[in-house]
Amino acid sequence: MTAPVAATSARRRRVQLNWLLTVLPAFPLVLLVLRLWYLSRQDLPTMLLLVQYISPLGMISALFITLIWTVPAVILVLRTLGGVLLVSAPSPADATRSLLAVTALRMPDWVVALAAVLAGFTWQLRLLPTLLMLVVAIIGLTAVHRRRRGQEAVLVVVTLGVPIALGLLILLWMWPGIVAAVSAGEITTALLLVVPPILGPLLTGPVPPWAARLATHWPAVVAAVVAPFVVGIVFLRAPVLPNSAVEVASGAGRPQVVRGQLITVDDTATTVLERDGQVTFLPNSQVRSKTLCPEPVRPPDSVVVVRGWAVGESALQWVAPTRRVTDVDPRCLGRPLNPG
Amino acid sequence: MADANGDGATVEVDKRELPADPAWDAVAEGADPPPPAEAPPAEEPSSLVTLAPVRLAALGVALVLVVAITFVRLFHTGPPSVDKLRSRAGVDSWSELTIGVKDDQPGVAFHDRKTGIWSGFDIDIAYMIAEDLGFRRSEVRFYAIESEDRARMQATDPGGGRIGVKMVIASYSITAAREAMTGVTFSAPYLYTEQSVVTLAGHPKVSTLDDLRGRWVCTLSTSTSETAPEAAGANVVRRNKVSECFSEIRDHRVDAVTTDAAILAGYKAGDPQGLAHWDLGLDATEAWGVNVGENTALRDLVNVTLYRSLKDPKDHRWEDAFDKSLQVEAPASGPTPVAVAQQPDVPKPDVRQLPWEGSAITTGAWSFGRRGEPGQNRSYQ
Repeated sequence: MTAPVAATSARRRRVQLNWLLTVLPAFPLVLLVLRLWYLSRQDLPTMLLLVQYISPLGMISALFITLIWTVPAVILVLRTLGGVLLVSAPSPADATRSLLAVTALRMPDWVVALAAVLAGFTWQLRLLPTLLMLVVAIIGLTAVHRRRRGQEAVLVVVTLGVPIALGLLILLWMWPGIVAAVSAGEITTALLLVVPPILGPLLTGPVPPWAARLATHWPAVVAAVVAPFVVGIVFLRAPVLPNSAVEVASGAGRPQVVRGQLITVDDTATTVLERDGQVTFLPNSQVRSKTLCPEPVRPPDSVVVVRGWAVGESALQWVAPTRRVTDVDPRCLGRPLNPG
Repeated sequence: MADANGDGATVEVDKRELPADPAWDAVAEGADPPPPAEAPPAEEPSSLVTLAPVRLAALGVALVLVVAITFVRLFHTGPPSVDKLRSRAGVDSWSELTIGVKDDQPGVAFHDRKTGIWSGFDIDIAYMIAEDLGFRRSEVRFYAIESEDRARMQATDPGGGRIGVKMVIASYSITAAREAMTGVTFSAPYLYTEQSVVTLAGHPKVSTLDDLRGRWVCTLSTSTSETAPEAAGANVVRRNKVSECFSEIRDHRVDAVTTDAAILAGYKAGDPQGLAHWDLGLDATEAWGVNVGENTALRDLVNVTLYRSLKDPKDHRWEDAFDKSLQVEAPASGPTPVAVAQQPDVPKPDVRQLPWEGSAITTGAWSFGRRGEPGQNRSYQ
């Protein structure tokens, strides 16, 4: 009697998964449309105008650059939590009731390795201890899960020796940053640098079987529900149109500066979306000059630097060339280039 | 990831590897998870089992930390950035910066009507603030303001019309009573001075205000210098401009002029033989501040500039202004102090990142004003 019921519920789960996989690709699309709606300040005509002129490729580029770091985060967290569940559950049948465990089990190792490398480049320095914690946890959990008889010594090295040694190395390397974070009163930065190396050796094996599902499956479910909102908030803050300042003058009057986001320029007018959401069409004959304004950068919320590397910078940002803006154009401050 | 082998077919297990449980490999390769069944617990190495509760605690700590840090990062934005303050203050929408200053106080703020040049310590402080706000010197507009109008921030334009200004830098002493007034918000102090008195040369020595009992003493109306001579029994004459007081003393209609030493020192330096500058030995310090009306974001921006000038070793703008306008007057005043030759302490402004410490972009915005055309400290056209 039990077996047919279980088979039916398994089939139902599979059907639900198929629906999930169908809906998933729609998520980026929803994000893009929401971003435009947000940009147009909920005004439908403005949004339609934006849809007409904004290149989808540009939006997707913005989405990609802004959210690239989330891909390895999802993969690594899934694999870690799923790994804990796999090694902790009393039986394979019990573990694989959870989609989390099944996903972790089916996830190829090279995907995890690629995700770790991607995270190494795109995560901020302050998140790298967390990345290393996840990596040692995954290695340890994988070793425990695939262990063979007579390999206990190897297991101890992988689950305790390696994580402890790596944790100590990280703490040693990060020490100046930890001291700086504590003295600057940045508690979150200090926690992010200190706690993961300590937790690393403790996430490499099973938890008590009775708590396995509670500690892994349900947090993953909550994260899956919350993640779209977090990702949405992050993406809604990302710029999708260039910030510009346009100097206009009609007749002999003093030039005025219109600041906002440049939507398009055609043969009659320059279309600008001003900061308050208003769309302005400036006749090209009145346009005196245009300039691109640097993005108002969110100043880093941390002043901590570890051995010359700011904790808010990722390795990619550190390596990639940046444009050093040394002067700000007065037009970007709303004042004409040549007052007079 | 899709359930490709969802038909429930099991896959043959690689026997050579002696896996702990063949069911894992079947699921890993796409088989349906088997139905739950009572299975004997797997045999675990001792190190794995004994640490299990500790691991559970560690996992709990990790989850709590993730939630807490995500919450803090998303919703706790911390103190405002300079850009945010600029936007709140409305600086970005001003095409020029209007400032109310005195126009008849040599050394502090003086308008030479022949050349149109504004000069003095207050003027240099105004340029310093304007520079950090991103205004070129040619975009700063000075308007003469009378003492009684400093709280209302209503200045006078050359045509005699009234005009509202964005800030007042007009030898305006910070007092609790003034701060309690509507529309008055002071920045941190930018100069410490004290009350003193000027008489015509040849006047008997004045050591305290008691020496002026029964005499006619001119001072500025609505100024902090009114109360002390009154308490000492002097006959106080109030004028809106200090230049009117000096006209009266030269016409012998009053015996003395009393106000802040930094103001009087300029007149003394301009007429070293004709005037005498006396120290009154008062212990009250006059702390001059910038009034920004009700624009508290602008006050924070002004404080950032004052703090920068105080703490940044490369920033000599305050010291240069003091040396140029006030220090040069000190010899003429002799032993009477003009002002404290050190910038008053400024509390650290509550901004996310101080501009001169930050990235290239933010620092760039702040160095903008330094490109301003030098020597164009002329009045409005």
